[in-house]
Amino acid sequence: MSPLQQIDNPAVALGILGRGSGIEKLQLKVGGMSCSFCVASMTKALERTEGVRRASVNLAHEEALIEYEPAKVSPMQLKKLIIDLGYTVRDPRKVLTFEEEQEVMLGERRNFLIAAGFAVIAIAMMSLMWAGVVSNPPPKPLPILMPFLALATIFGPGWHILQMALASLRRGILNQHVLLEFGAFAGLIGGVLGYFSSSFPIADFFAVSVFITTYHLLSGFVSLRVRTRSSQAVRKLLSLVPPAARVVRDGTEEELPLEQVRPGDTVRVRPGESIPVDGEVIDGSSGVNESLVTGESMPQAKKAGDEVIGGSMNQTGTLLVRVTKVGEDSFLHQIARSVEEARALKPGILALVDRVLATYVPTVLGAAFLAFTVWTLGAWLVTGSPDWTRAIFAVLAVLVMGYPCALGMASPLAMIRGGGMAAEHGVLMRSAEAFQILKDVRKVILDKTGTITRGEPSVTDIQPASDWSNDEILRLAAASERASEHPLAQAILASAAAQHLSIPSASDFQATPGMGVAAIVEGHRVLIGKPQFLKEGHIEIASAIEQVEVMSAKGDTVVALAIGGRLAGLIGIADQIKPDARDAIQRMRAAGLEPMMVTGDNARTAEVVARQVGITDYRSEVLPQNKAAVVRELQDQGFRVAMVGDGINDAPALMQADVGIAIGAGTDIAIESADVVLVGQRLGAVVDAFYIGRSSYRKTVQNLSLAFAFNGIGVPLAITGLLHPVWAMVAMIASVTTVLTNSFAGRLLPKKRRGRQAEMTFNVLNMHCENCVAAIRRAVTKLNGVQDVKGDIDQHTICIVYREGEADPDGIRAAILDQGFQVNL
Amino acid sequence: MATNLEFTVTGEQKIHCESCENRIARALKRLPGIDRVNASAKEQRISVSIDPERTTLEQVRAKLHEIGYDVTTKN
Repeated sequence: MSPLQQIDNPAVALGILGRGSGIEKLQLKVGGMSCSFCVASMTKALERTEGVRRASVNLAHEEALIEYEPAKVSPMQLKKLIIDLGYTVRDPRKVLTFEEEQEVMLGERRNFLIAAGFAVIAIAMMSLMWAGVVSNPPPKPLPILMPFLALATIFGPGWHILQMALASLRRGILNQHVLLEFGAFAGLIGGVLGYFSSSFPIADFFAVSVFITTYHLLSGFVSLRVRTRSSQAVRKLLSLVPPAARVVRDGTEEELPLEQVRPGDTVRVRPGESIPVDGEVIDGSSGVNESLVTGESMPQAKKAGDEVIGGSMNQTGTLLVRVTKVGEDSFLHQIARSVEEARALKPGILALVDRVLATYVPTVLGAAFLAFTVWTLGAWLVTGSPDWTRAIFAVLAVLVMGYPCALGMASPLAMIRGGGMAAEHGVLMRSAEAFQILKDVRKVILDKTGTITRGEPSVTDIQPASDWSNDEILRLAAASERASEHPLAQAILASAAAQHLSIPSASDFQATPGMGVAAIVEGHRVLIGKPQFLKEGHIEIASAIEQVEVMSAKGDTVVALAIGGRLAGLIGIADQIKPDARDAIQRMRAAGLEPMMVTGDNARTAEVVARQVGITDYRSEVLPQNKAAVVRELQDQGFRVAMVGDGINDAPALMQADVGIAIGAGTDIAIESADVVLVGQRLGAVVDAFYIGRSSYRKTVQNLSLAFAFNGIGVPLAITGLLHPVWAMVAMIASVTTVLTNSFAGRLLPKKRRGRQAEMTFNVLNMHCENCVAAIRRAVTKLNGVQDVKGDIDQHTICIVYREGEADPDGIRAAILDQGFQVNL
Repeated sequence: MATNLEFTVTGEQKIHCESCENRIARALKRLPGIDRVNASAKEQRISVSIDPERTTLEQVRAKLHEIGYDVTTKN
């Protein structure tokens, strides 16, 4: 297919992005790159072009991002340059569909199966010959059939490899395809020479061609299976905005498609609807969930004059919004663009196998040259006449011996194995690069909400201000808040339910949006809400102001409760840190990683959380676009960076990081942008992923060494011109077998390893004295795998040291609950 | 019909304070068929009203033992 055929609309295919300041950005999907050499040569070629400021090419995502001066060079010229280099260009917005990917996969499989069929026939014939069933020199059918098999394999299923090899060779790139074709054609030539000289075994030379091509196809198929790549992040992101908006014009309301909405229009948004545009509230008040911008799950109160963002969720009231930005300028489009840009700016890695090939291929070619020289020039100097037959034989033997069959499988097999191990730990590896690069990661950037913390508010503290008990406070608060959808209300209800409190019914329910609610419960008039709300209800709260300060400083959101006109107590609600967070951070440090926290939240909350988990390096009030910039900043300092996050707002940073890690029930977009997905909420899985990456890298190195070992011995021997081509096949089978064995042998051995020691901290609200600690200790130490229990009465926390895998965090929690304690996790 | 059970703490571990009382109530309420629990630090007594269809005196006593209280009962 001609590269140009793939472009149906040049304007779209050019995918022009940014504008202004004389520099423009061009993002392209580039097809036909096969290895990191391609990336290097394309980048070099682009950057050498007049008018190009910067070019970033990403192999994994097959994308190029070019910053250029439109005055000096046109997008058409840039595109032509890439096509001239032998690559294809296509519309960046068009993703390969699942069906298309599936088709490619089936095509590769079919090719391999056909080649395998030829190989089986070849080996059958060879075996017959070796077994002496047929005489040597072989009877007619063999020298006639074998060249057909060889030609059919190289030019049939192997056709596209030949194409790629030629394309690479033209660009002076020596990759595995080139290496293969050298070997395959050496086999062909050797076979053909066999018809003229008995020194060249016809059948063996042809058979080698068939074999190495088949192995090459098998490797290609294996690596394709390992690569799972269909990034639909951007498309998903944009589907968050509703396709239509209710526009109010001249007093009438009309539902219009979003393309027809203009800045300055007025849009009505009802409760429960997504806000379709970026704008300013001109009337109404409501709570709006802006978790996609700030990552915070608590809704923000919005009233006239406040800004709202398209894609966020309007929860409680109807809003009238004056549109400020639509389409390409809107916030969501900006994020989508950041994801796209980050994808192209993501630093590439030179795959280990490519690095090895960079020296190996020239070495093999050099050896072939050496063999030729030795038997021609050398022989002439010594004996007076060059040994042409031996020279050609040696050259061909070197070339067929030079193709390391297990090479293509060495990395994928190590990854399959690593991936299997990872999956057992709840770590899903989405990209092959992640395996290689995890070992180099120094900086780990952690999002706060949902990564370090649980991502949803829960009751952390109850401070009675009168003789009402904690339980009564919670019970009455829950009764008054039962009808409310507010996350703080949900937290109180969840806490009451967790304590098995029976919640009475409330009457005369009255809500003041953004402030609190009033209700009659069991004959008492109950007021619950912001301390300010009680004050406005003429309730004396001066005595509790200090307490409110203390709780706020801890990072709690304070809800005050009045019963019968008197302050009854304060309830602290916060997004708590995950029980294993502190331990996970320590383990990161122990593994040589430097954790850093980045959050959209304010400095005070950030400081509290950072201190709780033991992080010294953190940044607060970071907007989503800037998270990716933080990652880039560290990358520019020369660090390999991993980013852990779960939200839409983390997507650009996840994409930008060398390794993006999506945690827990992260949003689809976060998962699509990440290289590694952690199943479950455990932050410690980040460290597991790191160790698994390290060990599978080791496996890859071992596999590659084994793959090259046999050829490494074979090539020098072949220079002598004495090595029969059948040894090339023997080396092939031997190396593939050892690599396979090395990849999977470890798994077959029984794995008996004691669980690692881990810590977990629970908040136990009603733990008041040493007796309580003793009771918990007694109950918990009965469980398997629990080693130590430390209680802190002042902080109401209990720290449990256990062996991972033996003790189950849920079981520990249940045991404490069974003892009658209140547990917040 | 609810049945009232009365226990007196006789073991080494006593009910110390209000939070012990609460804890007892909370722990017992995790059993099925427990209606009302009243534990008193002053009297070292625990009264429990249960639904005899769903739980038994022995279960309540076992639970109390589990959380560290040895008790006698008049019932």
